Amino acid sequence: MKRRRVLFIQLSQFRLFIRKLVVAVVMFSALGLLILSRADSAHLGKAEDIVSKMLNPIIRVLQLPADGAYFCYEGVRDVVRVYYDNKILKQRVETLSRLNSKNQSLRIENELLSQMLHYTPPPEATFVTAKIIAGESDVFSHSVIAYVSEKQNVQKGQVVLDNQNVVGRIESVHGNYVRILLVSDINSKIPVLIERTRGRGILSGNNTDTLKLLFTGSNSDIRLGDKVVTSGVGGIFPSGLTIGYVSKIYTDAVDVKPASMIDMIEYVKIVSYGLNNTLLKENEAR
Amino acid sequence: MNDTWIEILGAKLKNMIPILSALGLVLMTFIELHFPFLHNLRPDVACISVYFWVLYRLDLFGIFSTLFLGLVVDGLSGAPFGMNVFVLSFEYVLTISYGSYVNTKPFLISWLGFAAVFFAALVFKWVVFSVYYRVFVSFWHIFITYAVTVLIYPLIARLNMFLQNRYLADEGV
Repeated sequence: MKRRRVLFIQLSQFRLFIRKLVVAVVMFSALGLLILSRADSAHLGKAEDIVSKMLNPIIRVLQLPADGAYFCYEGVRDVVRVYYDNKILKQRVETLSRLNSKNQSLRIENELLSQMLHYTPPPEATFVTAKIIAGESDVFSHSVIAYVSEKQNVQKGQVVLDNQNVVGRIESVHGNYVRILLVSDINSKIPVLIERTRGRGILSGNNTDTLKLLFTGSNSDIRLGDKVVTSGVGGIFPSGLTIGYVSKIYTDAVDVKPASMIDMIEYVKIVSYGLNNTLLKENEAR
Repeated sequence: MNDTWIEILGAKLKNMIPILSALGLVLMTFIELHFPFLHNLRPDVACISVYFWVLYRLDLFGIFSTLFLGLVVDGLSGAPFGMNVFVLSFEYVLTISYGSYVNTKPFLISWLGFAAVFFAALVFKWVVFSVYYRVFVSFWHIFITYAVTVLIYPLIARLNMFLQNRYLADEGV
């Protein structure tokens, strides 16, 4: 059989060369995308937006059987737990009823003192509840996707809580879907303070189940079990929200265990504190 | 031409089985299961799919399928755009280069081949990720991802083999 030649090169060799060229082009394009996303993520965010809007409804449908399985698992687990929980709750009710009467008197005292000081309270927080429909918690990123209504006006930067503890913040909004950057993600850096000592630091995620407390100062008296709360510095998170508890202390680092069970969250509260998110706006402007 | 449009459409859809199955598996890994023991245990099914289909049906799963799958994973995972395309293309090149050593051998050999290719791809991803964020992620978690993915490979390969034998066997390479 006669072999076809194109400019003295065998056709099969030419095809192979083209195939290799295409692979090289794709790899260089991917590298280019990576560099571009490092330099300017705003434009690539639109591409992510398109992918999210197209595929998230499919994930939502696929989620239904998984939700059913989890519902059954939770039902069995709850039945086992209910007896023990009941005992604990009875004790707590007694303690809380004592605390409640004390709180009543403190609240009245606080109102009176506030009036005397002409204190203006901060705006009331509003929140929407959202269901987690997809999660991406692997070694390279810790984020989840939640479903919200477009009418609820969820915005980038809003705080996300489980019930009362910080879970993360809104990273991006794609129509009815929002991406939540979890506190355990490597990109999460939150100004915090130790509630007991008021010592400041930065709580950083590292894509694992524990968080790292950085820049705490050499003289800070940190103990195991110390509560870590947001400091309010930066304007994204209000002060006083619980994030976690000190779980390990090394000579040069402190580990913090998140207060919320991040891997088991089903519903979250997306809270708007009406804060002026200065840093967020600056970052967006950049 | 005797083929009706339904036959033509059917043939086209058959050719899309590899990419559709890969896409379906990737979407399924994004389902939130809420079980504590599954945290950080997500197998990298995109890598499994690329390896399997490039190894056995390169004619139906080329570089553009790899590119498409990478873009989908990037878009869903919140990873920097291009990272998974870059890593999956790297795996594609590795599989093409060394696939001939394993694709006619028993399943165990192709499994070991995947373990080797995926190890290289994961280390590559780890390096790219670390350079991108200028921080090293925990190698222990990388190892867990590696172990889970390699262990789940036979299951997904079996599913893909079923699709190959049931719908694509008559077009064999």
